[in-house]
Amino acid sequence: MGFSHLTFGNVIMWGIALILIILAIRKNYEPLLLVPIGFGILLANIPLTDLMKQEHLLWVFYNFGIDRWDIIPPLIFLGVGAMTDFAPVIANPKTLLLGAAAQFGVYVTFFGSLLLGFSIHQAAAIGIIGGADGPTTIFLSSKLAPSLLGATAVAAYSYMAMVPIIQPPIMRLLTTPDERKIRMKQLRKVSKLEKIGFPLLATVVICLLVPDAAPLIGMLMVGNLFRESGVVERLSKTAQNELMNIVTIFLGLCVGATMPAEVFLKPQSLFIFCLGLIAFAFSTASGILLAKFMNLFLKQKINPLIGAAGVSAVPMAARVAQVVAREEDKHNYILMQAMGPNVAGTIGTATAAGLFLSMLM
Amino acid sequence: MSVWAKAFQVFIIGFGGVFICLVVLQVSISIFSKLAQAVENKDSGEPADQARA
Repeated sequence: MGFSHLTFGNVIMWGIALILIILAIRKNYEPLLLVPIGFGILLANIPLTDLMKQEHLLWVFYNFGIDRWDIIPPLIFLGVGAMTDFAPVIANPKTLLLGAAAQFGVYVTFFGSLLLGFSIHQAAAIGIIGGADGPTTIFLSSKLAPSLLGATAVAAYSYMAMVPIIQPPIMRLLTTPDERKIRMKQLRKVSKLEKIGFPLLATVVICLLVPDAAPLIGMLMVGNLFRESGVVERLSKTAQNELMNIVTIFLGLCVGATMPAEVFLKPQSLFIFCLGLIAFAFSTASGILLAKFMNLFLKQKINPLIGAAGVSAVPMAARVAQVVAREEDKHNYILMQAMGPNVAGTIGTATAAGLFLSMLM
Repeated sequence: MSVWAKAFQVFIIGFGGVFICLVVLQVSISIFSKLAQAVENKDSGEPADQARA
């Protein structure tokens, strides 16, 4: 009977699972991921179920979805691409730089993790949390540090949900009221030809420079092409809805199932959560600081708050930039301009992950 | 190579690499946008030219 094998650690993990499920249901914190992750944790911590034993249910999902084939994160990116409008980036390509700057938090945390005694592979998996991109975090962790997959994924999704709490104090600290009031020109209209050409161009450019980013960037851009071509609406709808939902279910259960008590309840899990917060903070700050630096040379000033949207929590970070801007000036609408660095951050984080893989695998 | 030397290498190539990729992408998008706008302006100009002929 399972009762005789139940440990105190299992019970603690049940508590963690319950907290995640409650946060998801009552507070709406990333419910699509945290509900299945929470339940996966619960299942992994019921003794003798052996769902993660070879050839058993969750092992099959994990082995083929994440461990051996690693197809789940790229499939999530297919759906993300089908849902993403890259027009703000196309209309103002300079915002790609803000998406790049926001990856600084990844490397600050990378060094911080090394200082705390993590290996270089583990440090990379922890650092990528700063990119605020769940699928990329899972993709990289599964390849470089599979034992940390559960902790890094839960940290990434938890902090993505807490962007409206984490970012505003940093944004107010690093900007003046006058800077927050900067109004930006309305973005130009982007033609259909540009929107169709962008995914093709981005795929060729980034995959030629960083071939290891191809699984994520390729799938992101094919999803986007489905959306923008206008002739494969069925595929676009499937990618955004049915496929995304199916893959999300498997992803959440797999991630949760990698967190049995004996793996998760270690001091390093707490370090990962702390480092994840540092990563987010530095990513937010570096995006803002680059925007301020760019303003030294630009005639048309950028509102530096949009730099904070370079963390790729789409569209939450862009909405937060809008909210903070409107605190100073109720008629200052920067949401669309903030979407530029926001979606650029997704490209930036996937590129950073590809570069980690190319240097550490 | 020591761990820290490798880490610095990863940082410089990694962070620098992200910037280089996105700068190249930015330039590519700017060039492509100009070409796309030129093609579209030419297409929207053609019917008027043909009517005059």
